[in-house]
Amino acid sequence: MFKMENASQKLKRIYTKLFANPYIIFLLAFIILVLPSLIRGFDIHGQESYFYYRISNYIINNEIPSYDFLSFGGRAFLYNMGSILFLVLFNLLLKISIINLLVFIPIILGFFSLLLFYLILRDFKVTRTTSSFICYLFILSPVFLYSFTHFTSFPIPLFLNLLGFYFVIKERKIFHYLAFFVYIMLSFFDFIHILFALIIIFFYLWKNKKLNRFIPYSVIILLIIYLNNSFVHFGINIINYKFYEYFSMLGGEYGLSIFLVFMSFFGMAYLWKKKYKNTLYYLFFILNIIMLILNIKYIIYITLILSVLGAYGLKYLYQLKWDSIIIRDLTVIMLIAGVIFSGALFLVNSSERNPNSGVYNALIFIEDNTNPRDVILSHEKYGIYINSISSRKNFVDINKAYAPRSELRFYYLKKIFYDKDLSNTLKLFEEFKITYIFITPEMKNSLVWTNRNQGLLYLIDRNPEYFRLIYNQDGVEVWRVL
Amino acid sequence: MKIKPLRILAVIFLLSFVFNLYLSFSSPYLNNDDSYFNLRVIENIRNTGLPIIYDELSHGGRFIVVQPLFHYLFALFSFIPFYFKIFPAIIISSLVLISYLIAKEITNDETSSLFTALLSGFIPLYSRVLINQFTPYFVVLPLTSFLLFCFMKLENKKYLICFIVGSSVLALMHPYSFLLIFILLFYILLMNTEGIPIMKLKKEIMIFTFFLVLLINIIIFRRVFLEYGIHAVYGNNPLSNTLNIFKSIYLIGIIPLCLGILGVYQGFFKMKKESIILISSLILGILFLLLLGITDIDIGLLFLSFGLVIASSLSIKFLFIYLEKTKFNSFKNFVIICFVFLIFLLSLVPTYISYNKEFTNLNDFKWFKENSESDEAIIAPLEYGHMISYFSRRKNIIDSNFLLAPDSKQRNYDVNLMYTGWSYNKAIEISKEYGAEYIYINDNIKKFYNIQDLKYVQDGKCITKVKENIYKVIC
Repeated sequence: MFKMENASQKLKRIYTKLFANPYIIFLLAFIILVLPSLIRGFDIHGQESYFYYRISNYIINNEIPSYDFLSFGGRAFLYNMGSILFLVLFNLLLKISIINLLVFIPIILGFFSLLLFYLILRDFKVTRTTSSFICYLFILSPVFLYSFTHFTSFPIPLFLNLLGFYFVIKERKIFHYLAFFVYIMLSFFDFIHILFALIIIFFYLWKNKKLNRFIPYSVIILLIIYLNNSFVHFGINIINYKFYEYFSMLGGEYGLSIFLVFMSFFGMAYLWKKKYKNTLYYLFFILNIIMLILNIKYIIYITLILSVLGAYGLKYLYQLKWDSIIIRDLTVIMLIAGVIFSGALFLVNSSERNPNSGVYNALIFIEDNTNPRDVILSHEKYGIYINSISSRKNFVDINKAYAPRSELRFYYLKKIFYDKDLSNTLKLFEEFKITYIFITPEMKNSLVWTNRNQGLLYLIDRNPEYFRLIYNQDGVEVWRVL
Repeated sequence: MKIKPLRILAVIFLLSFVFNLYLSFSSPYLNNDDSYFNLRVIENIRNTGLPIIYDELSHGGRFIVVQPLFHYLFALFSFIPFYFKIFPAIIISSLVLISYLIAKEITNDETSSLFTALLSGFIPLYSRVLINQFTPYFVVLPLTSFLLFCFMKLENKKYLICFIVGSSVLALMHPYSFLLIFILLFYILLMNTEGIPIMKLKKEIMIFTFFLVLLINIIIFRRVFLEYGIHAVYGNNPLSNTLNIFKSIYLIGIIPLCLGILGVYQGFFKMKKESIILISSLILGILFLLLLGITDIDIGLLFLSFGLVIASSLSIKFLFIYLEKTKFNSFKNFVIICFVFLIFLLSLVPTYISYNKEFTNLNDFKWFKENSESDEAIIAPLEYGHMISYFSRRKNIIDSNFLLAPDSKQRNYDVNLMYTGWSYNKAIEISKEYGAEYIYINDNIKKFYNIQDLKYVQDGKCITKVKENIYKVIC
């Protein structure tokens, strides 16, 4: 009996050692990061990647424009330049094509971000097992998978943020100077990234009673932001989201894992054991939640925080005195299974190529058969593809911030999609110079309509004198407005 | 000679079983077209080993989500003749035993427990949602109540294991496992408000159940969540539920309602007993779901009525205690007989009366199978959707599987328009849109839509009568 117990203890130790081995974590991370590209091919994927592809290419071939002729039928060039400038600079300096940069930067930066995160945790004297578990939770989070399996607005600023903070916590002065340099670069990105940097540095220095060190950081960062944004007048981009959109399974594109959130509750319970001695952490957490409410893109940083809290939560749950060991083990297994499942599900979904070949071919057809001045009407999900693949003007796309009369355009879009009054629809087409309509199977299957008897579908089917079908393959239709 | 309580219980169980079986076999067909969907899934499991994933007959062809445990379980017993009538009758009757056990736990009194068992055997609502129906609810209700019983006696390891296994089975069988979560949440809330400490093991099992139910449902319904997001909880249901208070009271039963409310009051406010707090949590949980409109009203009332029946045990106990204090105590046996008679009158009789043979003649659906092409769709109201798939093996326009169904609101509207509309052209347009070649209309449908016949058939030659209840679209 004693021998058996000894063997089981030994086995447990071996597993723990293996599980906590950093090489295993990074190997897993690498596999997860590369897997979607292996499945769908090493090519551009997703709206954000195509957006960066178009803008970077334009800047390389021309210059930084003041007007974007394609988005929203034409708008002022008001985009965050951070990621775009990085792509352009890398392209010019290293002579790597934009496509390759868009494919490989997220994978490389994902890997290095995780490495930095691990090193930061180790610097904070978090045990190897806990650090490993935190990293596993982070790797399996839908936000991490969304951010690093294709190019988005997240990989570069997140990496810079982690790098900057890693330099801040180092003792040697040279690192502090490097941190300044990193944060200067960070100020070219969205406000939320800079705010996270400020918040985390502030709380770190406050905790270590070195608040005087915060002044140079804050002054430099805020000054750069001021200079950077005095030209383009960027703000925090407060956009209201519904509560459930913050969760990946419940309707969010890249939300939080429900199970990670539950684990974090236990993490909070763990913190609460010391009651008000942990006030600093509560404040830090609350402030970050406020930031998340203000801008959903902050979710990447909340995931970092929740991964830490979640790992401690699970540890706390496991170490609690349970009456029933079976229930404890089953509960822990289910929580872990839940995290793995939400990550795996997101990974499977993101492995499908976006846009698929049917949509892509139709967009190429538009490029070949339409005039550069034509405006193509479609759902906002396809706006960026119309700009990037067809090189044509869209009516709307996902870059709503600072778009001219965007609310009005979305109102009219709804009207066009669902109104059965031909004269009203034609009037709007004339007003916005819409000459083509791009319809995908997804739009016909509940994204916009549910059957051909509705709104615009009804009109185009029954009015051949006003609409002509010029492309119809794989369920993708292109109609010309006559 | 005193009759042993277990013998009385056995008699009540047999009575309930025979009653359920009699009603089930009084009709050649099952009630509720969902029953036929479940039979089709079981047939598919028997033939292929897998449940139906893509149903080419439902809504003209679509993916479906089923929690397969129920179907796999009964696929094992499907070699038994009339298994779809016998098993529901046995399992529904098992409620008698479970309610006896729960009542005994609450009251520690034989007489009131036996009365509770008798009450639970004949709830009028059973005839609407359980009897002669082959849906997961005939397992879900007894299983949920059994889990509540196990929860009450969790300190015994035997019941702990039963609870773990039972809750896993429930989560794999039906989304109503979420009700268990709500019950436990209200239980925590009520226990805290009453200042009663919760046993540590119970806290642990609650955490376990919460994550178990959440994980299993998220895995099974992942596609649904991805499609609808949080709106998945409403099940893409195009029908609006309306609650008729008086009808609901009748269906719950006068006795369970009155005694149940009294029992909850006694147990919750006066005795502050943990077991009755759990039953109150069941009642509150189901009321909460009804309030949010997440659950079907009949199913919600079914759980509510069961909760009230259990709560009645306390009132019955107090009634007899009170009786002992009065001069009527010498007439105790007479009172018992009167009470039994009252239960028969106010519970058994309404149960019998409420029972409706939903389908009496389904030969027309067999006719479709022999006389129509396999790719032709048939227009029939929602309630007949699964009959078309099961008996005719033809495509329906709409059925009650709304999750992931394309465009169910529009389809429901269009089908209703086919029966109530006046426009011949519209009818042709709808039938063309769905590729429907036949329109089914029987007396029940005419009665439901309050029509004599389809109003537009004389306006053109494209829709002709081919059989008493069947029209064919020939253009």
